[in-house]
This record gives sequence, structure tokens and C-alpha cells, in this order.
Amino acid sequence: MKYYLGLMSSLLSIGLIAVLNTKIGVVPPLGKFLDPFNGFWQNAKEKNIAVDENIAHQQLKGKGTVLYDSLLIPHIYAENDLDAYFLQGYVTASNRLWQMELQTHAAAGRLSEILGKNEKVLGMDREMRRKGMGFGAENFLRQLKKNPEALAVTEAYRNGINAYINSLSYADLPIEYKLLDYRPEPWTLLKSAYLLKYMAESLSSWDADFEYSNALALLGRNTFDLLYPDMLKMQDPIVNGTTPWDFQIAAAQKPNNVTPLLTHKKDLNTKPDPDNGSNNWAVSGARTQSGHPMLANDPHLGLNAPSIWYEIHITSPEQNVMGASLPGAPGVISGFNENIAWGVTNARRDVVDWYKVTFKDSTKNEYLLDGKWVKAEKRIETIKVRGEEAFIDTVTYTQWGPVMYDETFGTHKEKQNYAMRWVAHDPTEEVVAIYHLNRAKNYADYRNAIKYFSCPAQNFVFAANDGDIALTVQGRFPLKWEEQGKFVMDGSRSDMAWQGFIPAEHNIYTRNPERGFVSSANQHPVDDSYPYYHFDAHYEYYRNRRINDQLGQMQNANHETIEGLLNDNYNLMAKEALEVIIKYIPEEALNGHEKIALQSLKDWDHFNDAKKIAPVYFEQWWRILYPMIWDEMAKDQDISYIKPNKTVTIKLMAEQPNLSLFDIQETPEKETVQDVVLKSFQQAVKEVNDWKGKQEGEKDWAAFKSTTVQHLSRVLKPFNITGIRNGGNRGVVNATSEKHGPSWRMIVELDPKGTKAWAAYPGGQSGNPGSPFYDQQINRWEACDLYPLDFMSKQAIQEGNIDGQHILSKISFDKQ
Amino acid sequence: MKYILLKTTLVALSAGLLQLVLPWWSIAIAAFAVNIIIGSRKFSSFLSGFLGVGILWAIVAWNIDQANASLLSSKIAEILQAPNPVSVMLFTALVGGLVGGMGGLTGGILNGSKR
Repeated sequence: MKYYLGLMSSLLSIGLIAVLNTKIGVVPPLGKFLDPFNGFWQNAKEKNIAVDENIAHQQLKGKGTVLYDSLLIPHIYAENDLDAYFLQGYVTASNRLWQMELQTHAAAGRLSEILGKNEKVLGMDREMRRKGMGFGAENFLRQLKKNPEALAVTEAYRNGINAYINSLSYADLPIEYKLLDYRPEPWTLLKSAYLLKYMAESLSSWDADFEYSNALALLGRNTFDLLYPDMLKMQDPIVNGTTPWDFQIAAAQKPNNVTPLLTHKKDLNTKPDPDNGSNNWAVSGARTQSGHPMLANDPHLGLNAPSIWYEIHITSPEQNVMGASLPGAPGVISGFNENIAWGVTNARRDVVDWYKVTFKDSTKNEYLLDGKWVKAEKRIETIKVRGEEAFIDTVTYTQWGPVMYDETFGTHKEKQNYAMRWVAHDPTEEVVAIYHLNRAKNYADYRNAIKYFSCPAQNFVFAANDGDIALTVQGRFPLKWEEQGKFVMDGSRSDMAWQGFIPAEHNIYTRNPERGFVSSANQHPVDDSYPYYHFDAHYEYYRNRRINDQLGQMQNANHETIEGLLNDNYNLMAKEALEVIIKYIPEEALNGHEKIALQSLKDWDHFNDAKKIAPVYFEQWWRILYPMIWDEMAKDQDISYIKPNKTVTIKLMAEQPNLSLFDIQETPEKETVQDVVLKSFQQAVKEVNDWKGKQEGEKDWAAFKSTTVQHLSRVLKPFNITGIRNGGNRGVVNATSEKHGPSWRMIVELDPKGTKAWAAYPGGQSGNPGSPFYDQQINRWEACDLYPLDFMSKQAIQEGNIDGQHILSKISFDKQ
Repeated sequence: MKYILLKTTLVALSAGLLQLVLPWWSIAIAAFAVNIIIGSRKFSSFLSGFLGVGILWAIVAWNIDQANASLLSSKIAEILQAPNPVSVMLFTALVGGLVGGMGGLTGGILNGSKR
């Protein structure tokens, strides 16, 4: 009896343990997860992390020290240059491992492997694979292996990450691994390649070839050109008449009989967030209080936690560099050293083109090219799905690139095949660019370094302590004839191919212009004088003009003046739009609420400040008016279009109020611009008042916008950072919108006696939601009251002294 | 019942020690071992395992939570749809307690004593 009962009880105990050790649905394995010795409780960290660690590793070549300051910024001192990258990998993984792995899994189309069966997730995975992310990453790796220096750096970085991963017990795992119940895998060179391709994907794949082709078919050439002009006169390009283009160009030759293909595509892949953009500028010493050049940068990206950026200071006998790094890639992307500073904004340029491919038959083994059948290649993509059978996707590759769209991808009824040609598929060397830029001493070094940066193209702003300021639009830009790739091209003609690339020396740049500043904010890169054809469908018209206007007036600038401009809430677009649309409102037709709203807009100074109400009325009005005007573009569910931009919309309302496009198609009446303006205004006022009725607490712009920094998982909402009360908006210099904005704010003063810098970002150095360092910087970021960075000397690091900053902990490294 | 205090303490101590080297389920082994050595009635065996592990886990969790000012436990409470950090702590103690209790019960049954 005793043994029978004992057996029952043992089986019951084992069963209970097994259940509590298993993830069931979304519920983590509760026993393992709740165990305070190893489970999630171990991720609850104290503010005081004073620890002195000693780590010996066989892959290190010499001694090294890492000091964490009070912002948890690691200051790395290595006796050997490659050890510095090993330490960068180690400390980055210590703070951001889950993020590093998740981002590269996303880029590689491997999310289903972690998240299990989910149609949406599988769609994301397929999209990345069909876009050729693996193809591009592998080409990158092949090129990397040809450059021993860059290869050694990337390997040392990888070794550091793996040294950390190999030291982990279950208790040490980032909490997301515990919640989702999986373990990190070893880091590889390919993962770094994927990360860089992920950046390329989010910053260079905004083509509008299908949408433009469709619009051309719908509207005809004249109306198309009216709605989608290449550049409006009001624009102030990055380089505007200051640079002589004194070189001979080899222009692309336009073939005969080029006709845009008219397509009928719907359910296109998701485009990157159109707000992905940035500001950067540098002012010469003539405009600053100190007489030294100053530089500022704030890349606008999705507001994510853990942050896209990780601050780091790396020193070795060969370099002393500090700034924002991307977890997963060696070196510093936006930062400074003892002599120079640089920052990046996205350089919009159409580097993705689409080719319609004709296959011989349904096997897709051969496709038509110049009247002959040419062999296609197949890439088998095996997408593992957690707990299920793998999904197998076959992607056909042509000389253009992967056939992303065919009858198997998307829910469209379209049976055509379209191949993608993208610069990011080519062998590129961004790691080499960053490596040389981090140790550059002057303008010549900077230009030599960045020429290796191909994709995503960036506007590299530059300032040096010898007084130079400059800006270069750097990328690998295809040599195109007029309008090549603006529309979908015929993939059966080899003469539709790009005819090479613009040489890096011919890229657009400006150095020490007379006005005493350089700047960029994702606008058109250059005035008409530049001899190469260049085009993109998504240029910005507002931040750049405001920035240039303010910089033009800037005198005796110091870091506080520049903080003021980074946090500038002036809404130029609202000013220009209201000038046009307010006069279309017949006041006698308004009710009491509407009159109050109109008056508040009339009294508004056009600053999107946190506590104002006028920006709420304006924003809501525009959200309704804009799609109401372009309802033509939304009526057909089978065809995708892109709306003309805001600037064109405002211009047309002002100059061509009788345009038939203002008519709302679904109503029997014939609406004019006055009708849509009034109708949208009345609807907006009603909606804002409804919102005010429901909203508790503050009823102002910050509350309406309700900026949130989202946890990368998107589903673990308690890990979001909320309660941010920030002004600004898209199109405003302080580009903080709902889930998007300045992901890194940096100011540098190039003092020859020692570079000074200030920075903050929306989050913190720790990726752990259980750490006080997870959102440490959020308030200073919100107020744009940047932290002074401790850019200490190598000697100070060696001796363990950091001026003015408390050292939280110290790690000593040595070879084993 | 007279050994309950002793056994609870022994379970807590041995579970704490075992957990330094073994995974979380070693708590069941600790409770099992204590109760197979010191026999008692079934309810008492279960209770010593339940309380020993439950109190141990609650204390450790509470300590961590104090140092962390409930920063993480409040977020986990939301994820687990629990009302507050204290409930997460009680839930932790309950889960640990149940496994400890089952281990204790098994040990008690196999000891067979009617004490």
C-alpha cells in the first residue's frame, strides 16, 4: 500500500514538475520562470551594480579594462586594437543580447522559429527571404573575407559576443528568453552581415515603382507630373549652389523605345516607415561661442526598447572613439574621436528597381532575355516553425535579383512575376567604412573612409578640430538615365539594366560653404547643377527649411543653443497649410465649438508644444483632409497607389482649387476644395471634442500624441516606456511622433584641447526591463537636456579615474 | 505534527543549497529527502514541503523585489495578469510550495511512519 501510494505521489510530483517546466501557449514554464534563484526574479537588478570582475579569455591578446560610468556607458581600454572589438562585443552582448539576436532573426526571416505558427509572422519571414536578405548578407560576407583587416575586426567582435553567451546560465539569460522559453545561439559573422542588411532594408527600400506605374496609368502623363513633381521650387536642397562639379561624367545612355510598364499590383510588401529620417548639421567656428566647430545629429527611427543604439567608448593604441553603436556591428556609427565628429541622416535615393520577368513555363527554370531563354536559379528557403513542420519557400533568382512577387506571394490576384534589383544585394563594405571613420583625423581621412559605405546611403555630416565642416551624400548610386527605374521596367531586355555606378568621388558634397554651416534632413540632395540623374519618391520639405533658417541666424552658439534647435517644435508644414486652408472656411457656417477651434488655430504660433491644443486640431484636421482629397488613390482595392506628398497637396489647394481631384468620388455631389476643407474641419472638431470628453488628465498635444517607446517584441506591452510628454511631430525638427522620433541626440564641440560631447536617447544602456538603466535617459531625452559625455583620456581609463562621473563597476580582462 | 517546524526549516535550508547547483525542481528532492528521513503523517509531510519551499521562495523573491523597488515585478504582474507585485510573490511561493509539498508528501508516504 505504502509503495503504491508512494508511486502515485511520485508520478504526480513528476507530472507537476513537467507541466511547470513547459511553455503552454503564451504562458512561460511557470516553475522555471518563477523560481527566485534562477527565474525572472534574477533579472530584477539594482541601481547599484558595483562589481569588480576579472575575466580571462584565450582569444584575448593582451590586457584590457572596461569601466561603466553612471549612465552604464562602457569605457573600453585595450592594449591591443582587436581586443577592443572583442570587448565591444562582450559588453554589448552583456547588455543587449536578446535584441541583437532578435533583430538578426527578423532580418533573416527566422521569427517563426521563436514565435511559432502565426500567419502574420510567417508572412514577415517570407518577405525578408523573398527580398533576398540572405542573398545580400552572404554576398556581404564573401566580400568581408577578402579584406583581412575588416574580417579580423568582425571576428574579434563575434568572439567577444560568444565569450559572453558561453558564460551564461539560465539565471543570467535576458528575461525575454525566459518568457518565450528559448536560448541564444552562437553569434556568427553572418549575423553581423544580416544586421547591416536590416539597416539597409529599413532605410533604402522605399521604392514607389509599382505605385508610380499605376498612377501613370490612372492619371495620364500631365496629371502625373503635376501630382508627382521631382522637386518643387521652394525646396532648399542639402547642397545648394555651393559646390562646383568640376569633373567629366559618363552619363547613362538611354536605350530606344523605353516605355513604362503599367502594372496592376496590390498587396505590396510593407514599406519602411516613411518617417525614418533624421537631422544633422555642423556649424563653423564663426558661429559658435567657443570658436570651435560644432556638430549635431539625431536619427529618427521607430522608438524601440531596447534602443536601436548603444553608447560606447572604445580606446586602443590606434583609436579613441565614442558615440552610438548598433548592437551587432563593430565600431561606432554616429560619434566622435579626438579630432573629428560625424553623424548620419538617411540619404534618400531610389536604389531599388523592379523588372517584370517572363518565364518560359510554370517551372520557372528559364526566363526571357533579349529573345532567348536564360536559365534561372532557385534558392530554397526553409523557414523553421516552432513546434510545427517547416515552411519551404522557393525563390527564383534572375540576373536582376530575386523574383519577390509571383503567384505564391501575397493575396493579390496578379499572376505576374517581378524581380527586384537592389544595391544592398551587391557585395558591400560598410564595416570597412566605419573602421576607418572611427580613426579618421581630418577631412581627407573622412572622405577616404566613407567611400566604402554603399547602402543604406547616408548624408555624412563632418566637423574637425582643425576648423573644417563638410557634408557628403554617400552611397553606391546606380548610374541611371532620366527616369530609369521610376516605373516598373521590362525584365526581358538587358538594356534596361543599370549602367554602372556613380564614382564615389563624384558624389554630392559641400565643404566649408560661405554660410558657415552644413545640414541635411532627408530633403533633395542637390540643386539642378549636379550632372547625374538622381531621383527618389520620398523627399522631405519642412525640417530642412526650418533648420537652415535657424542656423542662418545662429550666432555665438553653445551646446544649449543647439539643444534648442534639436528640440525645436516649429511646424512649418502647419503654417503653410493653414495659410491656404483657413481662408476656405466660411465662418458663418460654423457652430460654437468649430468657431472656438478655428480661433485657436488662427491664434496659434505654429509651435507643436506639449501643452498646446491647436496642434491637436490641426493634426486631426490634416489626418481627415489628406485622405479625403486623395480618395481616388484608395478606391480600387486591387491596385496600390501612393498619395502625392503633403507639399504638393497644399500647393494644389492654393493654386488650383478647381481641380477635379478635390471631388469626393463616393458622393453624388461635385465637391470643390472649399467643400472638402470645411467637411474635414467639422469632422475633425467633432472628433477632437469626443476625445476631450473621454480623455482623463491633460487634454493637450502631448496627451493626444501620447508618444510610446515600444518594446521590440511588440506583444510584451508592459515593457513599453509610456507617459512621455513630448512636443514635436513628424515633419518638425523635434520629430517625435506617436511611436517614432529622435532615436539618438548628439552634440559635439570640436575643441582641439579635447572633444566635448552631449547626448541622450529614448531608453537606456541596459536592454533589461528589470533594470533601472532600461529607461534611465528618458526624461533628459524628452526635455532635450543632454548628458555631458565623459570622453576621458586613455590614461584616465587605465588608472580608473573618470572626471565628474561616478564609476559603477570595473571589469578587468586578460589573455588566458 | 511536532517535527513540523524542524522539517520546514530543514526543507528550506536544503532546497536553498540544492538550488545553488541544480535546476529549480531540485526543491522537490529537498522536500522528499527531509521527509523520507524524518517520517510523519501525510498532511504534515506535505505541509513541511509546502511551507519550507514556499517560505524560502517568498523570502528570496521579497529580498530581490525590495532591492529592485518592484520595478520588474510590477511589469511581470501585468504580463501574468496579476493585480500587483505582492500577488506575483504569493504566486511564486504557491508554485514553489506545491512542488515542495508534493516532494514532501512522496517522502512521507515512503517513510511510512504514522508519527
